[in-house]
Amino acid sequence: MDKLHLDQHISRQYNEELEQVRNAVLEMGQLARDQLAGSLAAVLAGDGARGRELDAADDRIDELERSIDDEAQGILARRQPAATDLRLVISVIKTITDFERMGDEAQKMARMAVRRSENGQGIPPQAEGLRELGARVQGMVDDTLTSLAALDAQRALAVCRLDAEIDADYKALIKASLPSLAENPANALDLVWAARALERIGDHACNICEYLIYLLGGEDVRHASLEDVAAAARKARDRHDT
Amino acid sequence: MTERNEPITRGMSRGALPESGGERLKLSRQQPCIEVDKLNLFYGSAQALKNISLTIPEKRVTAFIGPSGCGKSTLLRCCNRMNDLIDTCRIEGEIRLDGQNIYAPAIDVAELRRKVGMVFQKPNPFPKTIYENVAYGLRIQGVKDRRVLDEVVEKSLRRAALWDEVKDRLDANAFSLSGGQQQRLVIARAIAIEPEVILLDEPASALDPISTAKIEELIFELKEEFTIVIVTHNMQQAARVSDFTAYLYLGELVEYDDTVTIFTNPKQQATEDYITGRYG
Repeated sequence: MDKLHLDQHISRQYNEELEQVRNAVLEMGQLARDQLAGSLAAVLAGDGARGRELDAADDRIDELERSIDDEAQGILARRQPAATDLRLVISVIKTITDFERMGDEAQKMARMAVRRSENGQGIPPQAEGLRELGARVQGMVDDTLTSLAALDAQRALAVCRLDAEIDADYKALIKASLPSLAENPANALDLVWAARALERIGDHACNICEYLIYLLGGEDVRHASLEDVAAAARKARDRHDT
Repeated sequence: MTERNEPITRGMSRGALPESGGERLKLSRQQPCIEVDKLNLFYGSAQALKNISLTIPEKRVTAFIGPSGCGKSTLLRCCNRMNDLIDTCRIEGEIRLDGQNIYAPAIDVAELRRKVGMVFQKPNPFPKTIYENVAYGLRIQGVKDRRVLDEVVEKSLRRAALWDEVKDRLDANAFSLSGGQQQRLVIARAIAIEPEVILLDEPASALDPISTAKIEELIFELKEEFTIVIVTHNMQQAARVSDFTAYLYLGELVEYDDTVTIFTNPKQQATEDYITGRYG
């Protein structure tokens, strides 16, 4: 089942090092995902206490980022990885940056929930739109994690495809909030910031999926057209699933 | 400070980024030097090379890698007919140097080996002075003019990055040099007769890391003028010094591509397994 054959090095120690790093990345992704889900729920429910807890939880994500970077650096220095192993380490280093930024965006929402509750501002306007956008982004992040765990290039491609839709939803939500900007600017701006954070999280999910396609197929698909990403994902799948 | 920074700026001026990032070296765009064409080689009834075809480009470094017994040294030795020395060795197919089949009956093997020099794993200087080691090739060609000899000896030692270390003791015995210096001396001896190709068979495997780095740096300098083919079982060394890499396994050519592709994204699983240390 292990498409990367991480368990087949002559050095068992090396197998374990790579496996550990991979597991730590998945753990970090799961934390970023939970951070997003919790922060969004806290904002939507006007729950300041929950927001405070989540604000503090971001520390664990930062800590994991540092320790994974450290581990990856050690592998580069001691093992001089090549081919798939090299692409794994490179994609890990890039992936955790995006997970960390996802955590930061979620943290912004958690802090917003705290502030709004302290100021007695309650539930933000356009909550339904925000909830819908949040649910879609949440779905993207879930699929990103599943793709990473299963090393599934096709599923990663599907996440990249969703990114354009998320951007459109985001723009529509901003447009809908414009009329209320004059009457309650603080409220309207919070909506804009929350929507913006969600849209950014979608971008990070898409980046991570691009790194996964690179890992599996060897082709750098950053800034490529969706057709090119699709072609690379197909190649990656054919390479590993035959 | 400037001095310490120098190697870094030198590395940058080599244009590593434009070549490897923007556009990788492509095998198909190279000027061919040696063409191996459907080469089969037998030691008695055992076949050591199986239908090998590949083109070694001019003024580039090409590395042959593969596990022990894969045929990489055998293939290297075919390029200057060193295998002729083995009685049971039989060859089918062709190897062309500048378009001419080196196994054609009319070929003068001594002349071929003048054009295609070779350096071995263990430094093998002659039991003579440093000067005479380098001058040796010219002397057997009949050159007697001391001025010409002095010039060639100095030039060759400079090109082999050894001049500064030996210029004051050219009359010392070659065996007084360290292993790394001896290996550079042997390279100076090889280039003194202006070959086209230099074959290096594990040239640094008996050397310490600093001597190894000097040899690798030298290889980089030498490809300006010579076509270099290197056999190494040190994969990182192949990755560091070569422009193109061929992976051989059980006498067959498994994959041949630019070195960056081989080490980041090889096409064959067998290559991947070998360079990443997996049991294939």
